[in-house]
Amino acid sequence: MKKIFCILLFLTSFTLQAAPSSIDSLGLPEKPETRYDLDEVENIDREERVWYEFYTSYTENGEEVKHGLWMERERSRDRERHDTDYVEVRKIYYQGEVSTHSVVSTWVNGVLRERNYILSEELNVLIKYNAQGQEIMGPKANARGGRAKRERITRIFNEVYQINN
Amino acid sequence: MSTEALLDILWILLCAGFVFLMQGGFLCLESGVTRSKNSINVAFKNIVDFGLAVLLYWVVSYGLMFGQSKAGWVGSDGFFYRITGDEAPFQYSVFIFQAMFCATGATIISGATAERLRFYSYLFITAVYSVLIYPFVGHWVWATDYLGDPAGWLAQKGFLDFAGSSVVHSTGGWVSLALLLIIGPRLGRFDKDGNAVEIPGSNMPLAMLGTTLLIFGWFGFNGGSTLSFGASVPLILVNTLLGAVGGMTIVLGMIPFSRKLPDPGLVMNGAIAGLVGVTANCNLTGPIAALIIGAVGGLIMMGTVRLLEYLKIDDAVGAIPAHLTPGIWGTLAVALFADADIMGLESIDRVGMFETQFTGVIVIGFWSFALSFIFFYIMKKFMPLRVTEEEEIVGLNISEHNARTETLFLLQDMEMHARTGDLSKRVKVEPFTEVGQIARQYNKVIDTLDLTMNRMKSIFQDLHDGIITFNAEGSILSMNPAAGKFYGLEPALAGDISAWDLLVPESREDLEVHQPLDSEPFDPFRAGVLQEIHYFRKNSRKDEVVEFVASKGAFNDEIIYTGLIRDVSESIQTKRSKNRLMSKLVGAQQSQFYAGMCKQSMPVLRNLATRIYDLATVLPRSLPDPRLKVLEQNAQEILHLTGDLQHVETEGSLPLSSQNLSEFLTTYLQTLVAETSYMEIGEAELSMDIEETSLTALISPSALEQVLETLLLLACRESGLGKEVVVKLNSCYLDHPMTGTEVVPAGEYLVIHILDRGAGLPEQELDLFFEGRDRKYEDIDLAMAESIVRNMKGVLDVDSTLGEGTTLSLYLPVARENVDPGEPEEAVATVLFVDDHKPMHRLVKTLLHEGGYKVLHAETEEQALQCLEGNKVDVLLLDLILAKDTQAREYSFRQLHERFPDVPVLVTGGDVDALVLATVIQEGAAGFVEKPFNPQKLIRLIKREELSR
Repeated sequence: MKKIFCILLFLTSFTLQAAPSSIDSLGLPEKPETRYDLDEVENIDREERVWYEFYTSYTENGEEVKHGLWMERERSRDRERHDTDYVEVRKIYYQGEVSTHSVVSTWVNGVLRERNYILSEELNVLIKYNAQGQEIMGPKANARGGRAKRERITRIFNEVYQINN
Repeated sequence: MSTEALLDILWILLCAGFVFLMQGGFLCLESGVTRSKNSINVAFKNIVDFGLAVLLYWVVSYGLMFGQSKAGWVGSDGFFYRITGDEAPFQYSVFIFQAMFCATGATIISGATAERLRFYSYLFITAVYSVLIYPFVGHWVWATDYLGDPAGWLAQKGFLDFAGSSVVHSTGGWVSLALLLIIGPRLGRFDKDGNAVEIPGSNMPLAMLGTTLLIFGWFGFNGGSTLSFGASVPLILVNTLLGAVGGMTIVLGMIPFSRKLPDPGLVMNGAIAGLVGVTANCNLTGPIAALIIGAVGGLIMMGTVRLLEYLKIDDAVGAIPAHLTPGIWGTLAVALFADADIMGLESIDRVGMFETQFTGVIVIGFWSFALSFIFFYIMKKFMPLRVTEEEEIVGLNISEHNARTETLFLLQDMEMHARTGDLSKRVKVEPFTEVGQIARQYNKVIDTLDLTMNRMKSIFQDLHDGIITFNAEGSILSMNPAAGKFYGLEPALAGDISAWDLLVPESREDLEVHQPLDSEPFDPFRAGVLQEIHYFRKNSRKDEVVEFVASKGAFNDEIIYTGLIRDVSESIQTKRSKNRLMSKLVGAQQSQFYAGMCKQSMPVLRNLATRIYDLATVLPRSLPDPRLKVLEQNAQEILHLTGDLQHVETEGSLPLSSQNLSEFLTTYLQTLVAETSYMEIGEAELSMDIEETSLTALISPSALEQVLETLLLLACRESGLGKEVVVKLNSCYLDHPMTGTEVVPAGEYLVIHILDRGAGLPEQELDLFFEGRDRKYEDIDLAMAESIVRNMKGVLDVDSTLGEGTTLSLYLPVARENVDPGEPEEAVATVLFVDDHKPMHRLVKTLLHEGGYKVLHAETEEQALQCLEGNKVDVLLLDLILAKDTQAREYSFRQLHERFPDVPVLVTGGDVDALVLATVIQEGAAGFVEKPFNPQKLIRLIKREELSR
């Protein structure tokens, strides 16, 4: 009886041995394949609500194929404050295919107040900052290990999405 | 992999190493503050719990703690932890770090329950802690989901415990508390009155090293809990450091108020308590708050120590004061000291936060304590948690691991000393070790003790008084030689008999107990009471008296009696002599009174007696009446008596005349039998054994008749009517003081013995026999009889054997002033007799005269030499008691023998030292003639020597 119990315990344990909390299983953003024929496209029009657009692409069979970082900025207030109060959305194109993940950042009065790292509709990491630009951690965000895990996720996002601010 | 990611991994692994070092710190601390007999066990548990905890953590506990959460209560995957992919390096680093935490928590339990918990029980407890308690609590507080959000139910409520004040330290403390309540305190931790007894540690410097390692390791414990190397790490390390400092210094600061000397153990635990206090909050507070939190942690630790002592809970290393209560405090302090700026918040709802923290403390405490208590309580029913009392006394090093140390060897040697009492052996000294120094000092103590014991033993052995020890059953434990000598036993065989058999034997033939009838029954256990025991030895009726006094004591919980036996026969004899002397003084006063009365009445009485006598001699011619004859005799006696009294008055003594005693006694006894007025004498069967001798004694016949009548009356009454009374006369020579009554001069005596066949008298009554009027026979004044005999230079003596009768002896000195045997007509040989006692000269001359020897005499060696030079001497008869000291005696012989080696020397003496005798015989003495002389033997020896020339 004891032997059967031990065997069952081992079998059960091995079936449950998947890594807990591994961010590898989340499908984190990956860098797009490096190409040397990419063209950078940047459009700035302060009159427009979406006043900034940027992307990289290459031409294949005469057609423009987006590849790499894509972003646009949409002002959230009046035109005069288009570059201090706006929402920035970044996506990654993989040879014309847009990613399911994205990063949405919100600036208020020239200060980054919120950045949402979106893996999917259900999975996102929202980081908020105060008026001084300091991260608002809050009790939950400060839980042991959780912060480190989020930092590792955001670090990968930042690297792929070329976020350095 | 980015540089930041690699840096994180490096930091986590480095901190894991730091936390592992804490395992060594706990090992040193716990084995240092516990006794050396358990040090190996404590250290071994610290190593083994690490291995077991890490194994179980890898198998199951990491999955339970950090696996995918089931409703926030427990993880459900990640068992037999294995991971692949880009995240593997980081995740494995985290696993190592977390595994170290699990082992640390288990070690807290080993310290608290040290010195009494069974090794295998501890392994089981470690398994329970590592699988059922710690991972659950850890999951509630530290588990996260895939995105790093809190997954545990407590964390989701906002409960914060950064590095484990509650999760690790309080949990370990709660489990320790439950276990301590079940297994109880160590032997001797609390005395009979319930007061705590300090149990000293074996190696405090080691414990201090352990504390230092713990402080060092704590940098990794707290610093690594970020699981990343970021900007917050330096502040965390500063707070950790200040927490330790705060806890340590507050305890130091409290010492003057406690009026005690600095306690290293308490100060070390103060530092640990401070560290535990800041563990939960060091990422949220500033340095000042960390210092305060650490200090309060130290105070709480001190209070907990007192509380545990009050509750009689024995925490061997102070784990509960250092981990449990400071852990609770640190967790609550999050709400009190969390800094809004550091947290990036506008403000903090401290009340709400406190409620959350408090809830967490209660829940974690309940889970840890209740679950472990129930589990261990049930476990106790199936397997003993605690070692046996004997094993605990021996120490867990031996009882649990059969491990031996030099300390143990020393203890075993010391135990051998204690068990055997043989102090001749010394313990082995291991050079250049601390134990060796103790052993060397111990040997010095044993040297001194041995010397003292030998001195005591010498006193014990040489003491004239007997000493015995016996237990409550009466079995004799030891006996000194004096006691053995008195009772005729070998002290080594004393253990075979009881105190009763020794002191008041019932079946010994050679020693008979005869206690006075009115004395209380003897009891050897009557401590502090002086008791007398009276003995008769075989063939002796001499009363030997010992005083016995017992004292009661205890040794090793056994009642031991020590009895002092003192032979007081001599002192009692002296006391009796003193009493007799006092009695005589009183008697002398009485005599003086009688003398005065006599002096006045004597002329009248003498005149009256003369007239009666005249009348009695004249009247028969005209009036023949036999009563007149009696009247005449009585008048004659009165005249004799008054004549004697007149002589006493004028001369100071009785009128003495030289009388042949054998003739006097024969005549007197015949007359007495015929004419006595006492019925007892008339009815008695008097038998006479009178030696025919020509020797005379100076006596007062009438006074001696009075004395003899008194003694005979007494003897006849003792024998009973019609029974035999024997009267003997013989001569003897006394050359040493008489024993029994008093000292008399040496010389020739005629002795009249009156033997009855009565019941006899006990020894103690003999010494008082002549001291006054006998209570039984009030008309017999023995004191008067003794006084008369003394007037005749004689002495009265009495000897008696119970059941056999009494002998009254009257010693009268032989009158020899005018008796000189002269020289034999034809001397066969010439004997030179050298003796300083003149009466002996006459005696020897008389004795040898009958054998035809001519006797020359000398009193000194010089006279002897002159005599030898001027005369032809055939045999030299030399008294060895001529000189007073031994060497001089030998010298006397040597001087004479060397000068005249051809003259055979017969040595004489009454009480000659055997050694002296052996020496002189070896040097050429021809033989030894013992005093008093046996005439036949003396003549035979002289004849032999004379013929051998």
